[in-house]
Amino acid sequence: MKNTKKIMIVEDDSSISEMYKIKFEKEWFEVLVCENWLQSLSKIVDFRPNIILLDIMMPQMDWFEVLKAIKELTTTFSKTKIIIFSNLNSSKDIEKWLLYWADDYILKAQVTPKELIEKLQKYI
Amino acid sequence: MEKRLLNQYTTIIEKANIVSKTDVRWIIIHVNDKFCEVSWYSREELIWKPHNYIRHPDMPKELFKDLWNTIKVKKQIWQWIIKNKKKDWSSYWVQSFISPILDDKWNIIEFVSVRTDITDLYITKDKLEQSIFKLQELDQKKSDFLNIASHELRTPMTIIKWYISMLIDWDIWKVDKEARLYLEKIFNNVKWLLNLINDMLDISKIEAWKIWFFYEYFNLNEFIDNLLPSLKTLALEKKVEIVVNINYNNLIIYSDKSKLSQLLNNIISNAIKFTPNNWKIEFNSYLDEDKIYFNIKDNWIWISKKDLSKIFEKFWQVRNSLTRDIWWTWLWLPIVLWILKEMWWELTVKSRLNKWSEFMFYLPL
Repeated sequence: MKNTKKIMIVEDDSSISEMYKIKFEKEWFEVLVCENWLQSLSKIVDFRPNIILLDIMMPQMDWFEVLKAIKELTTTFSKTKIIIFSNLNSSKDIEKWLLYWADDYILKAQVTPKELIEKLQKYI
Repeated sequence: MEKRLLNQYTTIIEKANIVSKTDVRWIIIHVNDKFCEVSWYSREELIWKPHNYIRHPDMPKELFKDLWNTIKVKKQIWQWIIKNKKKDWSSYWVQSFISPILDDKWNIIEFVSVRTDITDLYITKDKLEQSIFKLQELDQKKSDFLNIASHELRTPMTIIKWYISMLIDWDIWKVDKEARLYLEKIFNNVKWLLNLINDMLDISKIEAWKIWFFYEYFNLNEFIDNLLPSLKTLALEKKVEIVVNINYNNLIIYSDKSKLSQLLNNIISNAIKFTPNNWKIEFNSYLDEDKIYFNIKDNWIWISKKDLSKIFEKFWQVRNSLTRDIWWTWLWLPIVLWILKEMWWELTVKSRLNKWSEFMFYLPL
């Protein structure tokens, strides 16, 4: 295995998270899928991901609160990158706010698997 | 002389309206023919009866308190729409005016009531209100359906697109050349389908007023430079040339970047889609006084003059006259039009069937 990097996927739709998992494992990532924020928060310290891929359509807690919590958890031990992966393209204001806590914002519909990997490679 | 005039006034009033008189105790002392005709009571059945004899039990008591207060205490004319009952207990609606008749010492002598039968109008109004309510409900259901359907369609489409794209990226010895070609065709159509679904979502958002605008200052030349490469790639696949003419430099404008890019992307990519191979598309943008004009012209066209007014209707389908069998659904045009309208921009479309078509819009500086 060459340069194993850890990625945490937070996505409530298992058919979608499975599809990411397959692609990322092909690209030598170690993948952990979380179905929701709470699961993700409880596993961050143990898993120590290099990248967290967040789907923000999930209707749980307040986005900013969660992002803040994740950010605070991860800065204590490593330079984890938080990437928001979403189809929510309605408001630039929201995007700006999210980017205050997150490192990138990628629109789901606009990237192919190959392009997503290329973007992620930049962060590790 | 005065008496003769008065008689004539009375005749016309009695001919046109339901008229009745009561004494101060509210006992009927006069009814005209029209009253008998509408209420189906004979004159004998009504005279000396209290006036509430014909009152419909549906009418609220408070209303009659107000009536008494107006005509007896304030000694003014009272008016309202009232439901009355006929002899067979069926009902009729009247626009009523009731007035006290006063002597020179301001004492009430009697009451006169003049009414117009508006039953037909009232029933029609009732029916219309009901059907408007029903239509609003249906419209809401349609919007909800559109929204839910497009949301639900998007996830499986995204997954299909993802796996096809993984297959295309596979090593050359795993997927042979022919299979790859077919996969690419599937991929392009899935992409097109996803765009349609996104357009559908946009439309339902427009209907629910859930689209926001974000205005900012930006360099229009840089913006166009960033926009063109992906469109040129698309054009290259079809061997279509995009000729660009811009007559300004480093122009800073205040607008919504993402909406402007949605507009131009929509118009240009559709121009590419409908232009046959080896033709060209012109994209002109120029500054004229206080307006920036955008003008997209392609060399082949799908809109006949008589269809021009129809193209902004939702779900209007246009028959591609070259490939006869294909119908395109135009979801993007109403979206384009909506964005333009919200931003106070104007769009004009000109077209000569099978020759050219031209989309032009401008934004004020």
